[in-house]
Amino acid sequence: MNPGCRAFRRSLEQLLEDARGPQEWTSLSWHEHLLGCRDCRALLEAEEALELLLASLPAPSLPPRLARRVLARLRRGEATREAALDRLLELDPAAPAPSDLARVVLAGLESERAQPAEARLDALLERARAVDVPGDLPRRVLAQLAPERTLVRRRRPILARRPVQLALAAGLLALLAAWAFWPHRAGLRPERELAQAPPGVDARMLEQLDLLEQWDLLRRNDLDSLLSTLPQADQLLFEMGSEEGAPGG
Amino acid sequence: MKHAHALLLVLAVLSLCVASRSQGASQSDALADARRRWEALAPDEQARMKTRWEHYKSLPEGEQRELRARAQVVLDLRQRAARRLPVPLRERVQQLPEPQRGQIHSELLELEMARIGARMRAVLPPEVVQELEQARPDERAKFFADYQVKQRVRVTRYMIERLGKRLGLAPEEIERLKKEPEAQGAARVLELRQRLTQEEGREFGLPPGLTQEKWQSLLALPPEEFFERLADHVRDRQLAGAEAGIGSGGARPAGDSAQGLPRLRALRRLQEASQADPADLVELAYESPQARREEVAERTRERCLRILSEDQLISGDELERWRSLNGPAFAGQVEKLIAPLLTRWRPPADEKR
Repeated sequence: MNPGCRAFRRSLEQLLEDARGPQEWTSLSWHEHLLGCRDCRALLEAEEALELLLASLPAPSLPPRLARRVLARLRRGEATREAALDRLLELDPAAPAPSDLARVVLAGLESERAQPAEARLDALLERARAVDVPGDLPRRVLAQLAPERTLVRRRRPILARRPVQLALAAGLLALLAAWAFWPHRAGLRPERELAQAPPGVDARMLEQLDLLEQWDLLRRNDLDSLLSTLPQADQLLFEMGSEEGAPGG
Repeated sequence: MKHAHALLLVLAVLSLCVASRSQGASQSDALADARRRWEALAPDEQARMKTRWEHYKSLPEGEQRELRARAQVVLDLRQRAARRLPVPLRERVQQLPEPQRGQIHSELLELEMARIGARMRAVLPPEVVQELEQARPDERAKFFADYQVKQRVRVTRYMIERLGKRLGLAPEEIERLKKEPEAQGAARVLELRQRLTQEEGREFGLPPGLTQEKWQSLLALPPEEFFERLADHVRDRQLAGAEAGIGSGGARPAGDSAQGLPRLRALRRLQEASQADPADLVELAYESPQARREEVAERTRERCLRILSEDQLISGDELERWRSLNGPAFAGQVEKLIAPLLTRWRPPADEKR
């Protein structure tokens, strides 16, 4: 779940908990998120809430400043375009109008005027589509969001804070240092090793077990044993010395 | 930049922690391994270990230190012996159950020690070998230790002088190297020798049988391992019947031209056959040590007799006489026959580079 999803779901959750009417949903700028997020759409589709939400979205409107700029540009263009259009129209022959056009238009206007004021108002109001929200929809959506609620609330705000991050990093370093150096502190290591030795067995003896296992071999004084247990560097040194005619002593 | 410094600091702390911890962990692992081995020992063996431990504790500190150093060398030897095994054989040893595996490792170690012992005898002056053999057993170790210390100093100085000149080092640099602490001497000589071998490779071409890639991988090794691998390569080539053609030393006996190359090769085959074959040890792993020793000796003797016969190293009559000899007498005869291989060939002074 990405940060956009979290923000969307948190807003939704807050709105549902506040028990506002569905008309309030239109105040959220989440339609853009829903457009691009299959998971959140699926969440709402599961409870038939998506359709209601989409139905309640406000009609698109331009920001006031943008609207002003567009109008100004349109007006600037009109001045030149209208003059050119007039010139063209002057060249055209007059268009023949149908003979009963005026009568048809007048009849239409007459029938509209005949309607009472309430009926015209009703027709206008019908353009704002009513939203019929099931009574238990907020509860069902909240129930779906429940597993995420605690998770989101507990983690994000704390970990996002820089002092907390610094404190965590410092703590981690301290732990690492303790992990690395604690066994080497004087007085502690032997106890730890002793703890690994079986009961009644000296841990220092176990440390020398290699030596004790080879005791007879190490105590041998025959020449081959002495020669073969020379350090390898000395063996090579003596061999090279012999090849190069070094004094043999 | 600030973040980079912080990151570097964190990385430094982390690596310090990991390095420190891994050292502690390896010590702890070693102890855990020792405990497992201890628990696998029979009660009488555990009692024997305890007796040895008491004996060890009663020794003077210097003697304890020397024993620990030797134990480390033996441990390295044990690993080298295992490394020398062909991979399939090494795997077979690893698959053996614990009592047999430990025993086979010990016997492989004995073979390795015998091999190195024979090689080192050939390196030492005969009079020193004789003196060491005739020394009282309880004095031999001390006599040898004294000789080792003196000889190390002598050979180190001599080799630094010679190798330094051949490498074209300045006289003051050579003098400085000769004055380095004694403990660094052998390592310094090996390092100089490795450098010289590398230069010889550049000047005269690679040692026969090595590709440039293999040669580079060898040169990247620490000196001790470099020379060990190179010696193995020489040995393999010799046994395959080719001349090693490496270095000025080696096992070229004086007068070998008279004996002829085929005889020399036959002697090398005999020398190899006269050593117990690790494959026999592994094959007989489930026999008792005594039965295994006898059977391995018999197989070794059979191999030697076959080579003596096939390569006509001795006459038919002599061969019949050798067949009737018992184990040690037979081994003595073989040793005499291959003795020329162990004689060091030293170039005349004016031929030395």
